[in-house]
Amino acid sequence: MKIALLGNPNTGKSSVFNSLTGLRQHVGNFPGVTVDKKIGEFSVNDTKYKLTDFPGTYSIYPRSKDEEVVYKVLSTPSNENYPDLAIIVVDASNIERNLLLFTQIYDLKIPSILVLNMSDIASRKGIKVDLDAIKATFPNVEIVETNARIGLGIQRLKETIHAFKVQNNPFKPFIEGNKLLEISDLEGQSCEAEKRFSLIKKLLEKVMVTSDLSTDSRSNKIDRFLVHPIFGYLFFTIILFFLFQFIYVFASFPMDWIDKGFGAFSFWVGNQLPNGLFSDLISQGIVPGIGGVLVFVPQIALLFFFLSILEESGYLSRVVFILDRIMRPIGLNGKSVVPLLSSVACAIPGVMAARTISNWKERLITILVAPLMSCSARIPVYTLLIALVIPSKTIFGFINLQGFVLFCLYFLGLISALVVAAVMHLILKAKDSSFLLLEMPSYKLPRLRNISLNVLEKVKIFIFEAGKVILAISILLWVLATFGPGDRMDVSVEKLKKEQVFLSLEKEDQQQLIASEKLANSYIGILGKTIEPVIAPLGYDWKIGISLITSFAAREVFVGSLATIYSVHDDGEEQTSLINRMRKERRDDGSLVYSLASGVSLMIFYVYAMQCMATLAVVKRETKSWKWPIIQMVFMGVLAYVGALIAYNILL
Amino acid sequence: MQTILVIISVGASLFYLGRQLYIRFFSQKEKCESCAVSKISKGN
Repeated sequence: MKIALLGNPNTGKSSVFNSLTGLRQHVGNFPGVTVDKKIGEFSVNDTKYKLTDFPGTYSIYPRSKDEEVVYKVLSTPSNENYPDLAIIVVDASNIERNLLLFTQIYDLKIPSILVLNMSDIASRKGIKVDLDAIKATFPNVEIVETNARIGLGIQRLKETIHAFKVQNNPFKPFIEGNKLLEISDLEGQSCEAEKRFSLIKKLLEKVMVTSDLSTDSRSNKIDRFLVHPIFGYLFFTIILFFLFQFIYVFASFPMDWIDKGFGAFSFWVGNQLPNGLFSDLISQGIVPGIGGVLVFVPQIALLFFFLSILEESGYLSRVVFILDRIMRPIGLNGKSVVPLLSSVACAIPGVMAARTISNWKERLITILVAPLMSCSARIPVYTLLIALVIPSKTIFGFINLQGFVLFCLYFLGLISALVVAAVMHLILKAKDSSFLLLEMPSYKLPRLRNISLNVLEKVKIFIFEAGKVILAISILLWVLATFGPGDRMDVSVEKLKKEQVFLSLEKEDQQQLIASEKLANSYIGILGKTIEPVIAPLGYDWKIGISLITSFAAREVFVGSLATIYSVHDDGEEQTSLINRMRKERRDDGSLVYSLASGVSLMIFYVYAMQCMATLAVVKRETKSWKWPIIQMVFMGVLAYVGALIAYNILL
Repeated sequence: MQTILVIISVGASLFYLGRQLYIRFFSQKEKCESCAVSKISKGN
């Protein structure tokens, strides 16, 4: 039996899905979290049922791309996803608006079970619903009350599904003679909805009792402060400030442990394995490669931990609401806030979350500017460069300079995204603009289970998706840095050994020079020297150039690439060694490679550059065209190059 | 033996990156199996 799970956004649909199937799915509060279809199975008395979680929608008339899915499936009985049974989840504490979708599906004559979820919140608000009276209006529909967050009523729902039989009662439409699917114009659809709402209102007068408790709920009291035109923004800024402070402070400890652990492990592996090429690949390429992935896990986990708390509690919906008015003058609205906030973690879910934006122009602008938000992959790059060129000191007596620079980089990304969006708003033409329809969920205490599942899911994706790419690139880079064409490396080393300067050096320095000479004549060195003239005006040498190229795959590859190129020997303190090695790096004229000017120039470059193949691929998929990812890569590349050039020349 | 293992590792890395590039940019098949919007729309 094919069962469709339908409902408005924020009705706890995903919680019902999780409770029924046991599958892990993200449970969210802000609009449009259920963009992807989730399929799960469950069985009752050995009978298997297939459950499909559809995107949340307010009515069957689509206003965005994901809502179209619901319309297409429900309006076409021949569709392979057309359900045998629809489970329509409604928020029992906000039943009036939720019943619009239910009555529409009911009038489509789809066998249905009505789930009155969030019964606890309804009770707290003093709302009581007469189920028998509703049943009298919809005789072929079964009704179940649940509180899916704690699993209450789920067993009863399963039993109801199992026992469900299509009734032979004569069908009694909610609206007589309705031609739901034949109305294609917006005006007709609005009329239809108004007619339904007026009937729903009359119905609720008969079936719903509301006590005085509902007049001023706890959520409303909190909202007076959190969505206040002044305090709302202030609170949001404070939340963001602490969020980044916590990530910065707490992630550093486990990151150090992982870094040192892998450094020691790499050293140990190098000693245990027999001498040989593959042993070198494992100890210098694969183990540091895996370590390079895992070292960022604490940052990713903490970021999603805090975002999940904000989301689970219902606060993110308030953020969307207060930012809506800031976004409007630049051609966006609150719906763009979710993709942009998601992009702080990673631009890929950010770009995908833009599906909820119905207006094509707004959606496109959001997709194009989302990668300008500083994602988590930039954190290791920023951290390394800040430690390298920004002194660790306190300014104005209480502001940590390094932390302040990190904040500025994030802020620069945000401001740039807004400015670029404003420019695009002027360039791109659109006939109409969309609006934000937002339902404020009640505040809830975040559930540790949901937060843990979300964090685990994100960490798993990071390790197994990004990790595989980083590992593969580490292996290739190691090979390209170890070999060169013909006997070029040997010839250059022999030539070096005959030079007077070389002979006058200590043995350790001689080894270092030989390693540098080999690297310069390896495949990667030759490639780096070729591109050096292009990046020299930005203050970069060929080694940085190679890391820029490899980090086109993913920004975090930059750090790993530098570690490989500088031939850092694992001594248990890989990160320190890399920084020290980079600090000593000098040009032929004796000047530092990593000066304040070149360091800041690199940071600016990474704020703007579109160094992420996976994001480009998603943009191509979402826009169904090569045009937009190419435009995006070009404009971000130009911004990065010009920004870095200006920064370098000012600070030189 | 060690050289062969290195060649296999490099080959596997190249294959993986090439495949990812193809799937993400050129494949007609949808990358994400659970992706509803494209999958269901395609079914129509």
